[in-house]
Amino acid sequence: MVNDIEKGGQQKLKTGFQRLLSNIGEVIADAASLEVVTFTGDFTYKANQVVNNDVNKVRINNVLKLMTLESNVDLKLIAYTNVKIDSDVTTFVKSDLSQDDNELLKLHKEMIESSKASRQAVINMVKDLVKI
Amino acid sequence: MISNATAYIVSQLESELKTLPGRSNEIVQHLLELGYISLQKTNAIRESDIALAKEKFLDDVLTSDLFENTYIEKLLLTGHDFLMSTLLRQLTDIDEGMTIEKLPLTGEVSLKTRLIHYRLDIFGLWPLDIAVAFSSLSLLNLKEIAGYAGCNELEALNLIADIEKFTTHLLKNHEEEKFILVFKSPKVSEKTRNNLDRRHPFKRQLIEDFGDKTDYFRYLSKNILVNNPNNVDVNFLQKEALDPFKKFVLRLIQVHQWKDGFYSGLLDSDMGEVTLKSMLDAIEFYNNSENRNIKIHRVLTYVHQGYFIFNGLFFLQEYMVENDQLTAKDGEQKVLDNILSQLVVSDEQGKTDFSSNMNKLKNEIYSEAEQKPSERKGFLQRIYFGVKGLIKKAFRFARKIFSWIKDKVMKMWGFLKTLFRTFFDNLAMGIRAFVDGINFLFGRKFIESSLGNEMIVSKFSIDGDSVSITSGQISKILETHLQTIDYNIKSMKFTLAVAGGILKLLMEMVSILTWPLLMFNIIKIYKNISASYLDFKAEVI
Repeated sequence: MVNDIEKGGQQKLKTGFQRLLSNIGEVIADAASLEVVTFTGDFTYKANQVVNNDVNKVRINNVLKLMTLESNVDLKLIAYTNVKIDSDVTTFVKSDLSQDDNELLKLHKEMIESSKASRQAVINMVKDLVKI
Repeated sequence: MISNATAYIVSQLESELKTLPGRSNEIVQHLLELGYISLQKTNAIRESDIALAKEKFLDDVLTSDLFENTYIEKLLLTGHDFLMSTLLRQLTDIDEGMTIEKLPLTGEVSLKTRLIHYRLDIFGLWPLDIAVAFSSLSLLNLKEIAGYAGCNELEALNLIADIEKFTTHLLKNHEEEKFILVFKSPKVSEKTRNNLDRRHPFKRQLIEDFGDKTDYFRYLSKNILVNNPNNVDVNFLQKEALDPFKKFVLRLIQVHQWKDGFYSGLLDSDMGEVTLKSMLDAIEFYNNSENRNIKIHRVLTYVHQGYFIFNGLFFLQEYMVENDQLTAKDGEQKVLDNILSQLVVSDEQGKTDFSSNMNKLKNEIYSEAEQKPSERKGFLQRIYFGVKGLIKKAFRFARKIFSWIKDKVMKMWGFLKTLFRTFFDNLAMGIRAFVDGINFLFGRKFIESSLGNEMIVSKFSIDGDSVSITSGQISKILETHLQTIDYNIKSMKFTLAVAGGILKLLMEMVSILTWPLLMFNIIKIYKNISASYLDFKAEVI
């Protein structure tokens, strides 16, 4: 099996699983409401950012790094939706949406449905873990 | 945030994943076997050949009536490679292979016709390209098997997809003497001939087993198994060696040996040194595993001028056919449960030895999986990837497998490698699903689509929250991105189920947790969840 796992590793393994379970418990407490956010912005890449990290593909980490490190990236909020566990839904949508922005809204709507499915899958897993 | 300790587990499992055999060479082998890549290209396959073959194969799958669409959709959720290799493994399965409802019409070229030619090829009855149209030759060769099996062509085609059932059928429907086989092996060394010259004890055994039941056995005693080799009736041996049914049974035995991991040579009907050794290995293996003392002369003797006599009846009945009506799933569960239970109670030294030898076993399997399929003398050098039949046999000595690994019993090593190939394969799938599930839970899973200046990145959190960021116009990539999200959400249900299953079990046994235990539990849980989630008809893939 894993070659270099000795007793120290086994201890880490045990601690790791205990922490993992505890983390799941903490984060799941936030599942009472669901937030879906859609932003848009304009990103450009410098050649060395692409070449140095991956030959052909701009990796997601590069995108995030760019957003974090470069203050000139201007993110615009397109839509924000909050779905409460009692099904109350609040949505904010950018006021001056153009015809082209309809696709962004479509993305947002689909993400709401996917997020609901995602939350349900996590709840199912946790329910199974605690044998509800 | 993912904790350091959890990150440690995930990174260790990801490292483990890199050492596990992948499925890419298996996929290439199956594509060759089904004629999607020409045999002539085998030793110089280009990536573009593989890509084209995969595309053609998936097109054929979708237009064939062999798989239901819902089944394919479910398989797709567990990954593209898994979809490809699972479908290919099902098609090339000769343990509990797929049933074909109707023979194709002459001239048809389809996945079904490739499957028929593949099965004929396995039994040495297809001299042409697998990809050619179904023809009168296809039917003629099916007729040959149908003649041996005493059934029609369609029944014969389906019988040879279940080699054990087919063997049992032949044994029931033919006289005992039809399984006393003669073959000529002129290239076998003098040393091997001398070593295997067991005429006298073979004769005694034959008399004990069959007496002078028929003219055939009487003739063997009087004119073949004689003291002076110069008095052997070589014409009789020559005639027997050319008997089409007996030649077919010899091929059947070679296929059995290959399937069970005893024979790693070419499927070429050549009963040479390698095939002979595989027979002797099988006898030794069963002697060791079942505390028996079957002598070589019970099965085989060299006679004269390169001719051997082989008691195929005993060999097939004893080693190749399982009488227990055990399913492969039960067998696999039993093997895993036995290893796990012995691992838990083993002392520290036992655990260390077991773990170390499992690593060796894994490394050898990995090395073999890394070897690309090759072609020699017009034959494909191939591995059998199905293990249903083998697992049913493994059930017989499930309790011994732990100690064979712990003590690294070399006589059992070949069998263990074949058996564990599928276990490691399932371990890789289980780890991948678990790591995917954990990455999703801790927000490390991003879904990204990009084309030119268009880009969409979406990320989900454990509580379902999601963020999407776009750049540029997204009209060209929106639909693809939404499809990818949909695919990921569906597959996430599966990976979370696996992750949850593993976590649940580990919560219960955290105090006795070790890496080997974790690995075996991952295999077990992955198998159970995938079987129920995907509603597999075949229990072991």
